[in-house]
Amino acid sequence: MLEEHRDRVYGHALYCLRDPDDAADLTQEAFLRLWRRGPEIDEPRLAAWLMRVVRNLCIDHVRRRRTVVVHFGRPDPDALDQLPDGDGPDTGPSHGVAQQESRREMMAALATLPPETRSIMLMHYWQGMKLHEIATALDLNLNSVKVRVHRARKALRAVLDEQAAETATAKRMNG
Amino acid sequence: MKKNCATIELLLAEYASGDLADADRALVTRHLAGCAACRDELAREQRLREQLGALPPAVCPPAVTAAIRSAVRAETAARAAGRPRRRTRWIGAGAALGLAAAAVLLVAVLPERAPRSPGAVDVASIDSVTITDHDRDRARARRDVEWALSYTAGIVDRTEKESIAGVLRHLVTAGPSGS
Ligand SMILES: [Zn+2]
Repeated sequence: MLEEHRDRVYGHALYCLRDPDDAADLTQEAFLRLWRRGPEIDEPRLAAWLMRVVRNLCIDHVRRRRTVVVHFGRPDPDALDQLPDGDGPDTGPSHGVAQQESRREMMAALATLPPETRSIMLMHYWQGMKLHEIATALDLNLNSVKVRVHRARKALRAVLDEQAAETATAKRMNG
Repeated sequence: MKKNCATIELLLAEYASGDLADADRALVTRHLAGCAACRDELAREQRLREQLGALPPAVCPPAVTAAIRSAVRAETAARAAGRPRRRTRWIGAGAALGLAAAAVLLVAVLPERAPRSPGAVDVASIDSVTITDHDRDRARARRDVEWALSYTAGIVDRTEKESIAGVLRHLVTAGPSGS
């Protein structure tokens, strides 16, 4: 059970918080909660239940951290570098750099979303959960999930476009 | 048309992921044939889907798995021994302050068991009050801690109140019969 779900839980926390230590803490907390609930959670609901827990933990964590960020700076932007590279056949050194850059931009864009929405986007686009599955797991109305995804898409695109424009400007200045 | 586009846009994520029911799918396909704006939006949706989907799978470090196992073992042992778990890891500065205040109050309500130096931030002493007593005393201590919490909560800000509530809930609900 731990083996089956830990990567999803950890990954969700990592992409949500961009900090491997925090992701590790949250993963531990999520599984401890699961263990305490024990047989109450039956196998078919387990994945959804864990996602709900890790999402709630992430939201709490972000809220707590907001006040801390002012004093201790932003989360580690290099956290993503610790993720495994894709193991596709075209993975070469330059490909890896571009890939890391693109991940970093996506992570930065994700971080601009409210944590509730960030989690929904990760569940759907990264973890492949269907919107109605997310609605059930989070006890939300399906339409509200659709609206959040739609707004988040617009917000993310705006941030990514801005990043792209900044990169283009920087290249022109350097070139 | 504008209102129609708003409806269609909400369906694009599921359209792109292939999760729409046939009727809705046909509706979207028909609309897309005549609406360049929604075709653009679909292209953005697909691009985002690619980018987010390209985030690599994360691997939970073995150390985290080991930590979970050992935490579970520790809790199991604590329950078997009739002692609840001790988890003070999440205590932040604000919560510690609140706990110090709660400790001061505990001195008043549990003089025979409370720490003798109330000025110190002595989280462990609160633990010992709530954890090591017999069941009957534990129930009383729990009520006292809850009362101390509600009193303390009034003098700290809302964020701190929440962390204290969380921490104390851990302490007071922990136990063989706790969740
Ligand atoms: Zn349209």
